[in-house]
Amino acid sequence: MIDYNKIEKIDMESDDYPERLREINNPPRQLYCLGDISLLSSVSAAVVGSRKYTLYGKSVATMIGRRLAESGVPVVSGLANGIDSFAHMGVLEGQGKGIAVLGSGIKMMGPTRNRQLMFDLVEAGGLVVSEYESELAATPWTFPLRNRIISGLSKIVIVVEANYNSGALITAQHASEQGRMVYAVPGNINSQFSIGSNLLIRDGAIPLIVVDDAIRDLGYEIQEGDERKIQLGDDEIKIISEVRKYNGVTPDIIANSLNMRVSEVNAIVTVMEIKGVVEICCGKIHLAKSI
Amino acid sequence: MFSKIKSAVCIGIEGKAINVEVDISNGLPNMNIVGLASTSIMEARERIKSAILNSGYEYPRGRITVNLTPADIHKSGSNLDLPMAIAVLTSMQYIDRREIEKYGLIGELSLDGNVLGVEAVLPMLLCMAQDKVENVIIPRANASEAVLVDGINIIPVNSLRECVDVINGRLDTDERSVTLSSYIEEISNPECLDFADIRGQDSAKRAITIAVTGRHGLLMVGSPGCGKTMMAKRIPTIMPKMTTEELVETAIVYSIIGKNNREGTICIDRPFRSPHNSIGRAGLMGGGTQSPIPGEITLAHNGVLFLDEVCEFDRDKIESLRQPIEEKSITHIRNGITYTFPCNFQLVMAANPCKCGYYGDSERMCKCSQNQLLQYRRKMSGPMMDRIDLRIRMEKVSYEEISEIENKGLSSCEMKTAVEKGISFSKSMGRYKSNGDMTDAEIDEYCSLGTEEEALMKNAYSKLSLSPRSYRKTLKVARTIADIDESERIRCEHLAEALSYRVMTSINEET
Repeated sequence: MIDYNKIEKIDMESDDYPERLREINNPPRQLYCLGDISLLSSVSAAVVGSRKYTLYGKSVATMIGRRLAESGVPVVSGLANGIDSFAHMGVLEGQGKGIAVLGSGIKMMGPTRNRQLMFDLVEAGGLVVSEYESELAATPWTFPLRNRIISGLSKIVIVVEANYNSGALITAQHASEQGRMVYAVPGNINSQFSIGSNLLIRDGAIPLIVVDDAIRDLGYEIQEGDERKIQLGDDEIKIISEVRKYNGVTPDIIANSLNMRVSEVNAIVTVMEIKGVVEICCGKIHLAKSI
Repeated sequence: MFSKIKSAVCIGIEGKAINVEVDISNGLPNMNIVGLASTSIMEARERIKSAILNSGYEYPRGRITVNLTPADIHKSGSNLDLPMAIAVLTSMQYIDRREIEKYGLIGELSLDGNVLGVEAVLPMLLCMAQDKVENVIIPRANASEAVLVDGINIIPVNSLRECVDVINGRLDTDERSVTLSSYIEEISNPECLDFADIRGQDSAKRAITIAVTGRHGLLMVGSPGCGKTMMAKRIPTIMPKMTTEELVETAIVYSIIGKNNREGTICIDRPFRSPHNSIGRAGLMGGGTQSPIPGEITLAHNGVLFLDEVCEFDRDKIESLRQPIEEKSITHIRNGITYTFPCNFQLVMAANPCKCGYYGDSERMCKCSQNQLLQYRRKMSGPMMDRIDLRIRMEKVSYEEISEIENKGLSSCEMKTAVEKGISFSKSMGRYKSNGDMTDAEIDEYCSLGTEEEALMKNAYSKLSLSPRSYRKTLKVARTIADIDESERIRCEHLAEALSYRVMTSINEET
């Protein structure tokens, strides 16, 4: 269990107060920290996005979190539902370190369902930061305010999925004011979930095509994660090639175009899901990773 | 002058034989009814008097005492009008005392002497048949349901006078020649619903076939307009034909609520009940203040109970379905009497993927907030998921699929063949219970896996984050798929297919 007594208060005079945060407009007067304080001054990347997400956003956020973690980049995020939490889940998968910046006091952390994730992050050597006293409850204006700390702590900000009024866009706004590099993950131009991130690209953000680019920009070396080779059978390869043609496809369509029975397709797809080749979301089959 | 008539009343769904005794003695003209009679029976004295007078008989000028035996059973309903009137007429010697012993009577009287139809005739007839009553006179309006009763001579009548004439042998009584099979032939109209009406949706049809074969609870998730209700309505068409016992059971239920005579036919197709989500507890489970009447779950007996928009139902109503589903009956207790209604139904539920209905839809945007989504999933994941074995996600059929004329998709006939194949294979293996009803011990016995299959399930358990409950459900469904395949062993492909219908285990999963 997490010991809240270990929460430390760092004010602007302290040596631990990160230099990068001191240079921003309206820096927080003090930081309440729980976990490894040295992370505050590390060269880190923020991964943010909206609370509502698509399967695409989920898998990209997790992938980015994991890749950054594997290369030793600390990942800053807001521990909100959706993209924020997936980024940090990816960090835990990649056995890296995460910095969570809260919009409330540490003890009053919300949403409650991400509390376990916060504990896991701290346990894995990460850090939880808040400018508010540990018993202060969140209010609607504390969340936008903490976004300036998210961007302030990081060297780069990656926006994964954001709709046009997402809080992630506020973070991007702060980032550009603070002189941080902003990356945005491009999405389908007709997807409501990617309107914000696509707008950022139009306005000059760097499209994040390969995660390793961002890692190199941060000055880290690329570390290879463990990519396993997966054995696929003939039918599975046929189905994969069919899945590739669509952005999410139902078993009915596959069965129709391959002239197979639906029961067969369902069975094969499930085995592929177990192998981790495809994912199923809302009844549609998606590729889990590029093979 | 004393006389005694055989009749019956209905308590819950069971008929109970009753004797109506009448004695006319000297005294002030009056009619006294004793024997725990309800108001509807007490009021009968006015109907009886007018009916007798208007049929052209004389009404006794004396003290009439009516006794309903056994006297300790609470009796209600209007079906004792006719026996009481006939008992009075027998005491008046309009009817031969020796003849009347061969008859049982059921019917309500109108003031002009006509015999009106009543509810719950079928259970009463069955109980009289058990009591070896030779002839039973019933209202003509109820004649159709009487075909289900064997070993008893049914005489439908229109009026009190006709009834007296029949008993006195002045009318030919040998008019019932309809048998059950010819009757079914006669009213069975060609089924108008067919799965072939639905183009595409093959995976949903496959899942429905499996669900019906094993009597597994089924949940269909999909955006509004993707055809969930259309699918559900066609499920009775692929269920095996009702056996005579099932036919009688269902007809009894409908006889009690008076549905059979109102529609003029007995129900020979499997019932399809689709209660609205605003239904009250008593409406769903059965109930009432005096003697309980069957609710939707009992009306769906031997058929399909379809809960549309299931997330809009109150949680406790879904929760209360648990026991009836397990026991296949529901028990109500009123005034110290236990009433048990059957409710062996195929459960089918439909739900939108989210509150607004368009989460994951390819064309329209979902307008729900993250919290609404979570709340909705929480609603869906709890007691609802415990009631179902299969979950399918349905997608709107594209224009291409609709316009492809050659691919009509599976028809009810093909699906029914698969269902019957599965059921008869399961019976040939000595399993008479539906797979959906298997207990844990039976799952261990009938769903044993080989090494290869074990390995698959082990992998699936961790990779697809199954729960122990969903693991067992998968085994049950796999057993049904193997049955349809007429395979003695559950093989990997059966398990893998069953896994694709697995139920949601956590609210973090997509609907």
